[in-house]
Amino acid sequence: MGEFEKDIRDMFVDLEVPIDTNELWRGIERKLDKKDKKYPLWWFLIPLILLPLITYTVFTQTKSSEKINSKNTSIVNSINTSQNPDNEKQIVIAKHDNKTKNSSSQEAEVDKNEVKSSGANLQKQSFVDNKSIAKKNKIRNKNARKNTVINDISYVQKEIKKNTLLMSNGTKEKRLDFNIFKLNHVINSLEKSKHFELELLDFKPVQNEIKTKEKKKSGSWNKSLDIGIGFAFVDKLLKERDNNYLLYREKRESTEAYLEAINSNIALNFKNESGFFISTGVNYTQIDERFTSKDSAELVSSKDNAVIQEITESDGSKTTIRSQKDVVQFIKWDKVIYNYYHFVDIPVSVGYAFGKNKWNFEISSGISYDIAFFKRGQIIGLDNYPVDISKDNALFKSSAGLNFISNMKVLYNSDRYTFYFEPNIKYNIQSITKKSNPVEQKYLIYGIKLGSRFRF
Amino acid sequence: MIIGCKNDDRKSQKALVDTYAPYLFAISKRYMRDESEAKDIIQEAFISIFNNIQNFRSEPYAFKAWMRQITVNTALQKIRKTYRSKEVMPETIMDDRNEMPDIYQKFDVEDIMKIINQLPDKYRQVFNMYVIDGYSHKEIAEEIGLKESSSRALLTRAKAKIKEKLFEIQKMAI
Repeated sequence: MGEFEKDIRDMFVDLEVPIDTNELWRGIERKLDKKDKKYPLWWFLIPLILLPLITYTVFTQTKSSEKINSKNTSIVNSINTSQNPDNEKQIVIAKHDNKTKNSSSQEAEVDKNEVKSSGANLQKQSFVDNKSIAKKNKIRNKNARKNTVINDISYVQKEIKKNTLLMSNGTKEKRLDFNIFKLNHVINSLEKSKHFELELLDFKPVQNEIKTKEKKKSGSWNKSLDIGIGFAFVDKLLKERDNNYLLYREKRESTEAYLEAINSNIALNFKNESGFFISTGVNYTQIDERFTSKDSAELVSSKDNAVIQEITESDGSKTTIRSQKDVVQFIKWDKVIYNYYHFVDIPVSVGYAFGKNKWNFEISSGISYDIAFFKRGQIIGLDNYPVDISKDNALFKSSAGLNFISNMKVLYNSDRYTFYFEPNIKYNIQSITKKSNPVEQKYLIYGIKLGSRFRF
Repeated sequence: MIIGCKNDDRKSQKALVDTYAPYLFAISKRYMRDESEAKDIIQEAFISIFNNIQNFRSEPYAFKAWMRQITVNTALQKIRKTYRSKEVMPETIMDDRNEMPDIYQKFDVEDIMKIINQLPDKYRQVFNMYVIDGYSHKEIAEEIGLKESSSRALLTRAKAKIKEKLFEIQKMAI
């Protein structure tokens, strides 16, 4: 570097030129305030978590009110079932409450009810003591409790019959398991009752059958296949590897816009009785973007040994002077190109399933590895000209690598089919661009899938 | 101030603008012919600085250089966008061995700034980047999209132009 250059550098390197900073700041502040506010990830996660919870809560409440209604009508049912000649189950409730034992004989009479569902009418015996209103109320309360238990028994009785039929008909295990679960629940609550002891007479064979089934089931894995498809939103995360490429990254951001994305999958699930499951399969994601660029650039290239001058001598001969010559080429373009990124992944995830009756919920997370990554379209290249991403092998990797995946399924079990609604998330752990590319490119994909589950 | 800016604190951002705007304005003025364009550049540069300050992880002493780089890059991008096609470079090759006469020492910084501003865009870019902002020809070539040899040629021409202008001004003064 010559003296001139050194002097000029010293002259300018720390030069300051006065400027009205207040006016400048007003302009900057306006732009900063206008800056697009991107919704952070948790804005999406909140509905992702709340939606299944609300659905579950609403469903549970509806179900419990249905149960109350069913209990209210179960006395009638029990009477009806008692008229059914097929019904051979008998349930006897014996007086057991110690307190009741010590109370007046009138109360004891009240508690001493025998319920015979196979043909025997439910008999209620109560004697009202006119002398004491308090006693009267006590008896009323006892009766109410007794009725509740009777209703539960009636429910159990119905279910026993149903299960016996199911077992004898060889109906699908799924339905049977479902009823076993409900039955056990009611039986447990009855057994815990402080006021009555439950003697299940003909129930034992069914109970044994249930135990055998459960024993058989425990430790085994239920297999199912999910097929789903849905749409997704995408956050494209571009980050320069080096500060020198900050503007290149900004240029890319300004020329590439997300349009839409779809995702679909086929998943094989292995679920344990405890609710834990492991899942694998194939995921496909397609991201559509639009590349818009209207610009011009100058390409200056040097041509060696080019003719720069021709001299005509006095004798008419021509002498050519050759040297290095700069060739200036102007390029203008106005492009709107649709870019497509296709990812095929193999996922492995673990999760937990919970829920009851027709509604079930699953939450799972894991990783997926990209086995095929195709892209088509154009982006701004490092030299500021549009480049074809399918041809330029220096830009993108051939595999998008590892991804983090997570989803939450809300499943509805109809008698024959299972459908699900699945909010899901996928994040590229590794950049999909090559290390030689100064800008890292990752995607955060969050979408909703609808699908169907097949059990086998 | 940097920490405040990282936390999107408006007071810290304003303080940063007050402190460094004159410095960055001098840089943008060297690259842009028009003063209003130079003001637009530092406005855009400050927006970029605030948007990307989270990524700045070097020591605080490197902060000024980082801002300088952003300003230069913003200016280069703007020049690329508003490039005027009529500015075709002459094909004559200047001799790089010609030394710059000492007359530039008689001029103050404002005069030289005016001369630099009158240079064609590409000349000005290469001159600023190489002589003042310390870029190598290789870096200039990558940044502007030229060959290294073209960058050298442009620098030679830029210096020749400056020399011409300095002589012109001196003649007029006499």
